[in-house]
Amino acid sequence: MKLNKTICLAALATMLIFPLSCSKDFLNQKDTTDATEESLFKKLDDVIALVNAIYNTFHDNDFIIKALWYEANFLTQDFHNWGSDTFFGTYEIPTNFGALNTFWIRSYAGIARANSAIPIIESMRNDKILTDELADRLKGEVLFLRGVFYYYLASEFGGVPLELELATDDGRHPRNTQDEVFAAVAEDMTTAASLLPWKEEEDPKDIGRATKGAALAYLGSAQMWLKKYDEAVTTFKQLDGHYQLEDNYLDIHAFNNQNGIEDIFSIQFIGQDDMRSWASNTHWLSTFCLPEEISQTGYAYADKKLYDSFEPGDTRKYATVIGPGDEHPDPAIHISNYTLVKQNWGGMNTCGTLAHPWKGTDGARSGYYGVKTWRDPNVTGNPGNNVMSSQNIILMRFGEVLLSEAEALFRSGNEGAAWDILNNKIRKRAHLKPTTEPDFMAALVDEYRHELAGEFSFYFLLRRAGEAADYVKKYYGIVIPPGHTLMPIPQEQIAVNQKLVQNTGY
Amino acid sequence: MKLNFNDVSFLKRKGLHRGVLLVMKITTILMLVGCLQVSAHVRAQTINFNRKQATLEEVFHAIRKQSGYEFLYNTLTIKNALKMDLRLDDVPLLRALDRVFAKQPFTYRIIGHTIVVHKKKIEGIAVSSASLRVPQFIVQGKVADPGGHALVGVSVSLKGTSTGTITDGEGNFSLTLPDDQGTLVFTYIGFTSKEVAVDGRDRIDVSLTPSISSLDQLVVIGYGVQKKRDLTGSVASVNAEQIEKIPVATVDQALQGRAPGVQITSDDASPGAAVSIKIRGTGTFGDNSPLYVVDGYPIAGGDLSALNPADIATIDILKDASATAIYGSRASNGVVIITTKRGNTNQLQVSLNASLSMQAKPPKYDLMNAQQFVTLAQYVAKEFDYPILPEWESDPSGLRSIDWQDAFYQTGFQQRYDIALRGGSDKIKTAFSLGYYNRQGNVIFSDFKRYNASLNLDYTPNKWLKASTSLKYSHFDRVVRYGSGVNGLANLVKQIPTMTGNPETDQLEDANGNFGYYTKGAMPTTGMNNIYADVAQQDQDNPSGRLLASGYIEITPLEGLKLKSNFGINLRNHSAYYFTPSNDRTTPAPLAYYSRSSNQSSEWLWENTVSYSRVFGIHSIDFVGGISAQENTYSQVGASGRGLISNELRDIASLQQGLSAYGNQQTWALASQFGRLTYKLKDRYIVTGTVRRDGSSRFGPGQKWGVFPSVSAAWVLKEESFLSHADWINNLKIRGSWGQSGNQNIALFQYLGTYGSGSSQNDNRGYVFGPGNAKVYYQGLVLNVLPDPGLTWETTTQSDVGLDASFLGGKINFTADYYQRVSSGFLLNVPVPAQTGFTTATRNVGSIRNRGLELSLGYNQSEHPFKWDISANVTFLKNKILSFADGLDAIGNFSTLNFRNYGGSVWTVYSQSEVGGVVGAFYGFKTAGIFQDQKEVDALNQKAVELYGPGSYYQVSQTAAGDRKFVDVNNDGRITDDDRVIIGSPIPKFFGGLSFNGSFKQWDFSLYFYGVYGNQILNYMKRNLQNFDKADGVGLQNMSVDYFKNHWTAENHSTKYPRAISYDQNGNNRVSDAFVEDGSYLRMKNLQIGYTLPSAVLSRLSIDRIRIYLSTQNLFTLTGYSGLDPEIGNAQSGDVTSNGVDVGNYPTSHFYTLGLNVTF
Repeated sequence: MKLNKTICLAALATMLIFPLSCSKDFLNQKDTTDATEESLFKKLDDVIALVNAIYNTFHDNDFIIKALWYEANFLTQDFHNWGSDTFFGTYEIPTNFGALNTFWIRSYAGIARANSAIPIIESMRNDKILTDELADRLKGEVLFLRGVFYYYLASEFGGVPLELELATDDGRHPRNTQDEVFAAVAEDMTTAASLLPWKEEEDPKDIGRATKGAALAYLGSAQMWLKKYDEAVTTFKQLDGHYQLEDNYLDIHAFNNQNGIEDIFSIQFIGQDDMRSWASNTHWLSTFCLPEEISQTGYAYADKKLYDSFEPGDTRKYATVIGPGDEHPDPAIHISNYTLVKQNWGGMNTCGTLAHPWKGTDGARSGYYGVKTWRDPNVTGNPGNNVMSSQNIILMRFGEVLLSEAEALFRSGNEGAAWDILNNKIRKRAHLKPTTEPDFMAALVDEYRHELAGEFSFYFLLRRAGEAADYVKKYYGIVIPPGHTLMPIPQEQIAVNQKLVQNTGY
Repeated sequence: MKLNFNDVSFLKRKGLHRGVLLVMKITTILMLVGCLQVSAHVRAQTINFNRKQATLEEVFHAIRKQSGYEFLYNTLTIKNALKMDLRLDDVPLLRALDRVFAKQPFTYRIIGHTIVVHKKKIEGIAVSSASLRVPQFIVQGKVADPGGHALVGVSVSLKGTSTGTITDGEGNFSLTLPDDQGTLVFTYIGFTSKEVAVDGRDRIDVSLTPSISSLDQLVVIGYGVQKKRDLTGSVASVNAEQIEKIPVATVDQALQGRAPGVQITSDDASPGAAVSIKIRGTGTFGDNSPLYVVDGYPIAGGDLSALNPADIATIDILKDASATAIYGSRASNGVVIITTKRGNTNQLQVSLNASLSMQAKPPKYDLMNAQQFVTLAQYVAKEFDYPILPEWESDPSGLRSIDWQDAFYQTGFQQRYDIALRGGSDKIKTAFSLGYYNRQGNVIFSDFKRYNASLNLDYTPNKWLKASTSLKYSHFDRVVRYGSGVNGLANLVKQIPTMTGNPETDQLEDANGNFGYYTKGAMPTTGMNNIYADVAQQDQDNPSGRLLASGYIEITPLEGLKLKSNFGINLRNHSAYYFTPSNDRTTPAPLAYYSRSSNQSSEWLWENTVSYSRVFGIHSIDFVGGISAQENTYSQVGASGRGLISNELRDIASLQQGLSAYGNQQTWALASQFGRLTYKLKDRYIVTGTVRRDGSSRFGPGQKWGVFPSVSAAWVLKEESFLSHADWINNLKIRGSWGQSGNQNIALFQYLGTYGSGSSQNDNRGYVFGPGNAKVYYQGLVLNVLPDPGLTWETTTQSDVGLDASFLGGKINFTADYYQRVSSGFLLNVPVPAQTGFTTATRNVGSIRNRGLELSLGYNQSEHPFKWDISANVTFLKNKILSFADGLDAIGNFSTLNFRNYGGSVWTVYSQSEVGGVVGAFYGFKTAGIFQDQKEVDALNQKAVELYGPGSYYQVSQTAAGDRKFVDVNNDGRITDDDRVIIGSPIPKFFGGLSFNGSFKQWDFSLYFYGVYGNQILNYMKRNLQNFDKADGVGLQNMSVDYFKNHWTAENHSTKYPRAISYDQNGNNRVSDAFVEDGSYLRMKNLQIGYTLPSAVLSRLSIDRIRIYLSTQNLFTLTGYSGLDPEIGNAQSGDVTSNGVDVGNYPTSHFYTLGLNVTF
């Protein structure tokens, strides 16, 4: 029994010691997969990476194509969808259209990234890790980007909830009004413009970052939405001398002229080893819009009415849309070089022929295709290895700023200066004489169309000008159902936040 | 048998005369399966022996060999020796001899090293006279258990005398009595003794009932066992016999319908697939699976597919908080305690089980053939100017029809083999088993193989020390190339039934190995591919290994006091690869894809407990307390990419494009203290208090520790004086409990705001800067999750009242429980508005209540040759969401079923969990039939225009006669999202099981039904069967013959199916009540007939038992459900908001099994 007791005591002792030896650290495990704030932001690179990641929000193909390009173009009916998104033709966009949800989610992800960066930048400035100069620039970029996301959200949905700080609650906030959102955009852009350098002051390796000019361009546009036309004129004027129109309209979207003189803000992309499949740093807008005969895609095509609407001699026409019998205007692109054209079309060099327009295997397309998205000579579409493109996508350029400025001038009572921009800058660059259209707004809408069709803003400018419904009725005879000039708030977002009220009509 | 009468050397040495017979016999004790050899050790002072029906000579031989003692006896004398069932486990020589001679008419004397055997001297006159009387009456008979199985070695004696015998290998006995009167006493360990008056009968057959009545059954309750009689909590138990009746692959499948309150649903029926288990309803939006404790080891992330069901002895399911609180922070979904079989003292049993099963081809949907499909395509082409293939435009009679279901379905095959050796002595008990399971599913290229080995060892060297080890290893490999779901088998009904894209063949695969494909780049066949070729050409393997090893040492320094230290490790590893070759059947032509991944989880557990139990007069206490620590490290590494120079390569380094790689590890830890005290007064008032304190690394500073208390009480009414004379009542007990338990099952480090830069090229967080010709990619950094430093346990508070009753000598057993279970602050990866920057965040939000009534009733009849028992259980359940967060009244489904991101009538939102409603309620539109004429549409549209202006419509602009009409629930004159309502519930009103077992002579049979009632199914497959345009994108798809024949046309005004269109702009097939069906069913899960060979045949082969059985599973199902199988789990595994949506599961069908059980 003695041994017995000794063993028992030893066992008891072990049991008692065990919890003591089990130190506090036992329950404090370290996350070695992801970095925590404690270990970060002690050096410059971290905060720069934090800001880079806000730009990364744009790198999503559904965001770019289905949530921006679609709306800017399908809603004007100048372009149409082949496939399952044809509901743009009747403005019956389903409330569960996935791309809008993606757009919402990504935009707010970008906004949250921006909101989370601001206090970090400030604290690193206080800790002298950041110089004031760099801290200002980074903060300017952050505010600019936040403003851009809100700008496009409000352009499509109208008012959306304004989140200007990283959420500390569960974010179930109601929508702000459209004006409140654009006012916030204007505020962000104002501050950003005061903090950011001009494009020409930028280190070339920073090209693609927000600049003072970009902030002013969006500030002016936001002021337009707010109908503060005087202020908009002042804002736009500041860009003079910092940006120019390309002499040759075709050069705006040339592959070899990325970040050109007219470019104010672009989404930047870069090539990688795999240009066949979707990836973060490439886009497939180009392949998406190429004729099926070349790429086996052809998911978007132009309306012949757009093609026919250009005045004779307008140099923007073939830089915007080509059709049967037309060669591609870009000297870098030879239709005859595409594999499928060689195989099936005897290597002809036109976008189909009048006898055999390229309407796709099923004949369901118009035969007319956008050119602005067809400029990357490397893109071959599906049969080849280059489905994806590395070409930058221009969101804001000087041509748009000038037209907006013209509208602002007109609406603020300076019709003469407005006509001057229209006739002597925009139309002149297009090798056109002054317009014969007496009504300024009618003339302006035409210029918006012919200058910006196939890019990323036309429909939004129409809505901003209050011309969307009339335009669609006038040119396409379609009555937009009441309320459907706005996109529906995504069904899934309402499902998690019942404070979001759907746009009327959906 | 060999007798040696002439061992001269022995005689010389011992100096004994001739005529004394020396017996020698060489025996190999055991030769098993040609590989296992047990050799007796020589000259031990203790004896080991285990044999049934051993002759005395055999026993002598063994003792001689082991002890060195010789036997001296007269062969004539021992001719009358009785054969005996003798089991000696390390028994000292003298005690062994006492036992050997106890029932023999001989005794012995030890002289030096010789044991001299002689006749028993008669002591005492009375006995002497009795035993010397001339025998006058011989009685014979057979002793069996209630199942009709012969009981071997039962002691049969004449009451009040020493006359007696034991039953032989067939349970038979023959006893010579002085006369035909008197009373026979039958005694057998583990069975209730029985006395039977002879009453002149010369044949008396007796059935003994196990003395461990259900009330004395020990129930494993976590850190201890308790008699069922003394339970204060709600515990359901399932034993090996019930599990063995169904030849299933995994333990959890065997549990279905066996225990009230436990709902088990197969998410899919593929080989080795997981099932979802819910104990007492859906308590959380997160993980609802219970905690599994296998041989004392709590397994995190329960996965039972590795366990061999044949090894299971019992499964105890702890349901109420009183029972579960001892497992604290992991117990809110209930605890399932699995105990494996261990060795028994005094017998070595070898059992072999084998079974072979065939599984029928699955049931099919009746789908259109090529001609029907093309006919409809032609109609759509004409009506909607839809571009169809040129070969469809002409007479379709020459087109080859492809039956995709036939191509994918096959007859399944399953084999199962187990061998187990279990036995031991007083000191060492072992159980060893090997198992092999292989199932080839009834869909091509799906199989599951498993190899199990297990060893349980219990060592009790003396009274105060005990050691126990459990080792379980399994290796398994599950390959299901084409599985459940919208991106899997659901496609079979959608595949266009003719394939003309490949000029070389229009078959899936021709004789030359050419695969067919669909026309590339054409609208109608967009997104269609030869999935048969894809599946046939892919190559994958998913082997996994599991080792669960645990052992404890237990010391008993004082009677009733036990100190125990338990240590265990749980290792899991998985290594897999997946390869698809390049092919040019679709555009873009996919490159070869190769991925390889491996992961490992290593975990240890250390628990030290003190337990003390003591009876002080009418008081008794039972205490257990302890501390526990557990730590798990999970590591993984993997890489994938595209493009290989040869389809023969399986090499990451050779990948040419899109290489992405990962590799990391994470650790969690859990530290706990716990205690339970049970106090019992006079066997009738029992109170139990339990508390556990858990600390978890999953939560942040200040939130790591949680305390989970419970109290319960029971009153055994039967013990009260007013019932003590009610003989028909054997037990009557009422119970009540209250307590709390927790749930901590969330991803790690959710309380921290961590930052990441994205894992791969496809998912990076960086951006590109620099001029057009010199762009450079720069890293990004992003906050990964919306942190919640206050994140803590989900707490479930449960109250339970129960009643246990047993009547008519235990023939009728009844248990009832009513409970309320409220989970609050449940840990939910809650969808948050994207406005936060995140779509989900892990939060403690909301509260769900489950209330339920559980009843089980059993009856058994074991007194007639036809013995049977029947038991039934039923669970009534009500689920209600009490609250979510502020401002959140409802949440939608978490998973979108992987639909592609197209517009149109996709089922993005299909369920809504609303406050006041049930979890995962179906959500959609109500339908009002089909618009039969255009006038009705126009009138409604006109009204919408009046209300909302030009361009307004009731449904959509293109709605026409033949389209489905939706109900304007909110009466605003048009159909919008606001018209959606709850259209069904996936949660049954009740479910239950019914089992019947019977035996008659050599035959036994069992029958088992399972049913659910009152739930609905949201039938996505039905929608596919009436959708001509491709549900998830561009193109056309196949559908049902019934639609083809009966859909709405101008001539045929169907009220069931809408018109055929090329693009479902009206959303005819949006989520609506048209696809909600009653999901009730009653299924015959199992029918088994067994035959046990008569023992006369077997005794010659030294085999105890051979049983052959035939069984069938899922023979029939009574249901009104129109789909293939009403047993629908979660559409996305683990997502309760996708519960009950039929997205085309891996099909089930009936099995036919032939099996064999052998014991020797």
